[in-house]
Amino acid sequence: MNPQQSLNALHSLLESLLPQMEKGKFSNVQRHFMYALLEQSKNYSQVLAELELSTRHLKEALGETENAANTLLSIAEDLQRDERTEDVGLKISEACTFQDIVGQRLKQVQKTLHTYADFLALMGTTPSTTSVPTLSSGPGFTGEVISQEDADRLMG
Amino acid sequence: MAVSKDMPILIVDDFKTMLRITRQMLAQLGFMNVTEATDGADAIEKMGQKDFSLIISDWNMEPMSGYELLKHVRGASKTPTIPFVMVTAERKPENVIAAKKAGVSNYIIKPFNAGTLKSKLMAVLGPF
Repeated sequence: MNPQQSLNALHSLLESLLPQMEKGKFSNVQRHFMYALLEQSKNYSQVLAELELSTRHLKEALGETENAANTLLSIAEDLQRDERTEDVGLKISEACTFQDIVGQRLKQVQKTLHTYADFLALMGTTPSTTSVPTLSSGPGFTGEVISQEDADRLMG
Repeated sequence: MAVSKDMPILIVDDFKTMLRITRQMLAQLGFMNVTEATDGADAIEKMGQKDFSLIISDWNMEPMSGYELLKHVRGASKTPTIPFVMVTAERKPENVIAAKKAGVSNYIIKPFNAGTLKSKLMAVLGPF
């Protein structure tokens, strides 16, 4: 049994013992220990939920930099068609290589977050669903955010 | 021998933006016959469909990296001597040494500009 499987088994065992713990079948020390372990696994749920949210933010950031770079590249292409602005267009194109470097760095961070999330999932942790988004949680995700037109409609 | 600006070139990168930039820079240098691939495996597929005179590839791609593609190209009977330029953000000496050992023709560090691309291509292909 590898460490992840051991932790997974421990988690299942604690959950199966929960009804007996509640019926007072264990000593106080044993109960405290088991509740502490279960409490810890709840913390892991919160961590897992936050890791998943951060991964989504990174994915959005990747898409947003790519869109911005593509917009700039279209402008650069237009400028390169005219002899008078050709050089400026080329310089803009060259500057757009930032997207590749930023993208590679974001992908590295994404990989790390995935590794931790996978580890927690292997331990039997499920992401917490209790956290409520606040009014200041930053930019939302594609498909979950409203357009200016939607806002205008809501404003009446 | 003069460099033909019509030579078929394969550019390989998993970032579409980078493919677009490289294509633009090559166009600026007069090379218009450019095919794109999004990773090593895609590049091998494209090489099965068409013969290329030059490969310009990123290193960091999944599932097949540019380094693995380079080794594949050098090991294949059809393409052991095809010019292969690595364009990468990998700037550790061991990467350059490994690529050199695997038979890379030149190594360009990202971010780069059209001037760098031109000088490295001239070093590989000859003056144009």
